[in-house]
Amino acid sequence: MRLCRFTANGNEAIGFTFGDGRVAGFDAAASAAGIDAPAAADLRDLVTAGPDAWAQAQAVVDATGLLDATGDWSSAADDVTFHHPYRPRQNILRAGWNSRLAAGEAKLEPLPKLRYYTMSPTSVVDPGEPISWPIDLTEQVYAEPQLAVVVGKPISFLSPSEALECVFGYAVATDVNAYDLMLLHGQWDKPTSMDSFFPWGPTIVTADEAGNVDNLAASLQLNSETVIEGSTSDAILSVGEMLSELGTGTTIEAGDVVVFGAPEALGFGQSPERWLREGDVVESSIEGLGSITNPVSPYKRG
Amino acid sequence: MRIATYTVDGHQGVGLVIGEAVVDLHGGAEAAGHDAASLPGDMLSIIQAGDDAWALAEAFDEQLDSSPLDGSGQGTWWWPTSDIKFDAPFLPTKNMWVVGANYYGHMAAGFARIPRPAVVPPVPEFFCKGLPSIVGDQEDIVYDKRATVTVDYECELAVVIGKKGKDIPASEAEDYVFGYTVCNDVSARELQLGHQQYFRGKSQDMFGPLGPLVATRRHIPNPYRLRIKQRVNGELRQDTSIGEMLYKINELIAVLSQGMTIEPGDIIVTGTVEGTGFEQLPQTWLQHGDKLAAEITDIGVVHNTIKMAGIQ
Repeated sequence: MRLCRFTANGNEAIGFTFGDGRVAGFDAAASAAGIDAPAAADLRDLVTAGPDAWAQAQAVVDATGLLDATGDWSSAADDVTFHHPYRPRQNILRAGWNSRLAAGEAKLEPLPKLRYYTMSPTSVVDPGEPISWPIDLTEQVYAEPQLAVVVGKPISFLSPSEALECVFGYAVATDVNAYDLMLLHGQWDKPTSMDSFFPWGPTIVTADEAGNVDNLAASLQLNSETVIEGSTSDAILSVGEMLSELGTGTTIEAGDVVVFGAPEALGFGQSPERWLREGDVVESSIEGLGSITNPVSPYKRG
Repeated sequence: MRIATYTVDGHQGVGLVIGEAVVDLHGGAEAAGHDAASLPGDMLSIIQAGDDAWALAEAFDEQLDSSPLDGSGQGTWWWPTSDIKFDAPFLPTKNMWVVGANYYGHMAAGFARIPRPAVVPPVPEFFCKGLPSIVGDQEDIVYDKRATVTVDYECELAVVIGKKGKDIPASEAEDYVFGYTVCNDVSARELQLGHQQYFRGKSQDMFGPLGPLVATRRHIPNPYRLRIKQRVNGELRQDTSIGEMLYKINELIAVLSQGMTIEPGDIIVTGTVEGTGFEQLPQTWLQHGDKLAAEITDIGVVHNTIKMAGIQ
């Protein structure tokens, strides 16, 4: 399934994308197919609801395969406004330095232990909405294309393969950070948590359809120019290994979103250094998961 | 007022702590002739409800303060504190924010062990504790030796935010405070230092005891007069005035809200004082059976027992 949250004709819904650029809400699709919609008020509800609700969502998607795809139960994706999937219940978990390339850029030898930190759930923002920060606060804002891991079952003292089994799905994200503030604060949670610093989605692709997530191409386009090309295979720890380590002593809960670690970062990784500025447009893409585009527009504090 | 989330006879409620009694906010207010129906049923919702809800609760609190409880209602809408359990006040809607290196004594003695110069950071050093770390009074802190064997304590003043805001000037920051509680910022030192970013070392499950209650800003007009105390098996290990805090609460709120919205129910844990096990020579770590009592005067004490997973 490719799950999403969107607004069509003024109504917000959760549903799925399918076929050739179509999108449908679960309620409308289930009604058209004559079966029950999954019981979930939002996508976080669905992610945390467990296998029965997931199977019901899949049943709706499957049942609509028999219907006319352009019926009035669905819309053209171009005609709806997509939102980020949901605001997580607690901070977004983040594996930093999970990249042989990034570690190389920072001249870290030997490869470091991962830096685990978190981003406030207030940092989530919709596709198309501006990435924004107080313009006088930082001069070194940069972006990374990121694999966001959506956890469906609690992870606590599990092996890497067991931990991977707990993943509900995956999404593309643009991870935005303020490099000068990261150095200044020492701890990275605050300088990465500003409002609008976590555009993600709009689609959560369930694990069964995401392929081998340890070998997905990831890229970042800045004003339509490809500035980062990498792969999740550049990582130091695989998705399962990272979840297993982070989940050792710290339970990763259903609904938590874990950012895997960059293939490479725009900014200090570039030569010359390139920081985001007013008027830029940033697009992150991950193979099979889609892309997310946001304009850049810092603001002046009152 | 001093407001608590408590459990008695398997029922959880929100109550006012009056001396040595807990008065159920809803049951007690109704018994006293107030209309409590507009008050939400849990502490986070009360904090989110804003000024009107707080004023109603404060009015009832004042009335209770001026008219001592008699025997009527005991066991139905009020209990001696010895009869109830104080739970964690509430789960916030995001991780707790915690400030490192915010008292000179802890910084000087602690950084000597890393080593790192004991210089006040140029801006507050914020890190986070995840929600699965939060436990209440009298709950066990179970560490697992597969994750850590260097468990340490840090008693800290926790500030509860009452109002939404962003880019808040320090001069207005006090208006954003709902109240104060106690957090024991229990830490896994080898994880904290090994990963350099502190999250994993600070966010082991159950490593964030919180409570026993929230004292509102009206009850604590000047938190800098209070003292932070921590006892381990009855021995006083930490004992310092909050007046020694380096980045004050209004500065912490101002910096934290730069570019980032803070919300009602957010918790900012403001840093620990000298006396942690990390600072000792040799360093000492908490062991199975150790009893912690983290106290801030005029707020209360959070009691927790350290257990190691696999030992009964």
